[in-house]
Amino acid sequence: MASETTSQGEEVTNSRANNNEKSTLFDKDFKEITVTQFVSLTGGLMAGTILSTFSNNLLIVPGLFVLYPGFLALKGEIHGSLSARLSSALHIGDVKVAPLLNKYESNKSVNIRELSQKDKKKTRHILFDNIVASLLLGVFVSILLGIAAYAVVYFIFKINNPDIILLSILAAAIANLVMIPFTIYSTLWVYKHGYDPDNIMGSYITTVGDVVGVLSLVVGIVLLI
Amino acid sequence: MANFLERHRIGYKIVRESLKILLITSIINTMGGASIEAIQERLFALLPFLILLTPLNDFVGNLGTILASKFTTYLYLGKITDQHWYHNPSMRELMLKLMIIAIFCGLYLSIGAFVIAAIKGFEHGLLFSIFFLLRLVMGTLFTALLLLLILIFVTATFGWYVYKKNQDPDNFLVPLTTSIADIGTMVLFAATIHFLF
Repeated sequence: MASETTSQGEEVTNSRANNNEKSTLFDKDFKEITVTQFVSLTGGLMAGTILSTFSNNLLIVPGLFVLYPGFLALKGEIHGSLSARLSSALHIGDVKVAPLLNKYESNKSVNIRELSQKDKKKTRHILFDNIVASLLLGVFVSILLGIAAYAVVYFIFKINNPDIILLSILAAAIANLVMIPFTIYSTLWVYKHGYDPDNIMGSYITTVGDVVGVLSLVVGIVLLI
Repeated sequence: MANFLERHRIGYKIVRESLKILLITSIINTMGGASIEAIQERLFALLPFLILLTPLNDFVGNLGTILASKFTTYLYLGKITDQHWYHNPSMRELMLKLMIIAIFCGLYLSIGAFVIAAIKGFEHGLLFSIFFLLRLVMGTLFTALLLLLILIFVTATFGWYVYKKNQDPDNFLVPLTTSIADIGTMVLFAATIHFLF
C-alpha cells in the first residue's frame, strides 16, 4: 500500500514535472534540430527529384540500387568526417585561418591579422594530409562498394554486371573531386565568419552531398554508356 | 616509405582508423540496397517513392546521430544516472521532441514528394491521389517512428553499457545508429511498398 502511494505520488510529481517541462519542449534545441532537418530534407527532395528525372538512365544499369545507399552514405562517412576533423583542428588551433577584419580594424595594417609562416606551413600540412586521406578513402571504399554491389547483384539477382564496379569508382571520383574542395572551403569559410562548423556543416554536407552524389552517378552512367 | 609515412602520419592515421568502419558500413549499406533493388520496378512506377528514397534515408540517419550525441552528452552531464533511462525526464523530453520532429518531417517529406511527383506528371485522378497520399504518409511515418523507437532503445541500452565500461559512447553509438538507420530504412521502406502498394 505504501509503495502504491509512493508510486502514485511519483506519478503525480512526474506529471507535474512534465507539465512544467511543456514550456521547454519547443525550446532552442527543438528549433535548431527542426530547421536543420528541414534544410537537409529539402536537399534530399531535390536529389530525389534529380534521380526521378534521370530514371531512364538509371534503368540501364542493373543493380544500381544495390550500390545507391552505400554510395550516398559516403558523403557522411568521408566528407562529414573531413569537416568534423577540420572543425576540431580549427577549435584547438592546429589549423588556423586569418580572421576577418572587423569594422574597427579596417583602417589598420592587414599584417596584424596575417598568419605566421609556421602556422601557414602547419595548416597546409594538415589540409594536405586530410585531402590525400579523403581521396584515398574514397578510392578504397568505392572499389569495395562496387565489388560488394557486383557480388550481391550476381548472387542474389543472378545478373552479371561488372560495369557496376567501374561506375562506383568513376562516380565516387567525380563526387570526391567536387565535395572535398567544397567541404574544406566551406568549413574554413564558416569558421572564419564566426560560426561553429560543428553546428552547421553536418546538414549542409548532407544537403549538397545528396545532390552532388546523384548527379555524379548520372554523369558516371552517361560516361560509361 | 617509412620516412614518407612519418611525415604524413596525420593522413596515414586517418586512413588506418577510418577504413575498417567504412568497409563495414559499406557492406551493411549494400545489403540494405539489395532490398530496394528487389522492388526496383515498383519504385520506378511509383514516382513519389523514388523521390522519397534519398531524403528518408538521410532523415532517419540524422535522427540517429542526434539521438546518439544527445544521449552521450546527457551521460557526461550526469542527467542520466542509472540504466532505467525510460524513467528519466531528460530522456523522455528528448524522445518526445524527436517524435514530434519525426512527425513534422515525415509529413513534409511525404507531401513534398507527392507534390513534386504530381508536377512531374504522376496523376491518376482525385480519389486515387487522396488514397495514395494517405498510404504514402502512413508508410513514411510508420518507417520513421518505428526506426526511431528502435534507435532509442539501442542507443540507451548500448550507450549505458559502453559508458559503464569507461569508453566514449560517441565513438560507438554514432556508427551503430547510422548503420541501423541505413539498413532499417531500406528494409522497412521496401516492406512498406511491398505491402501497401
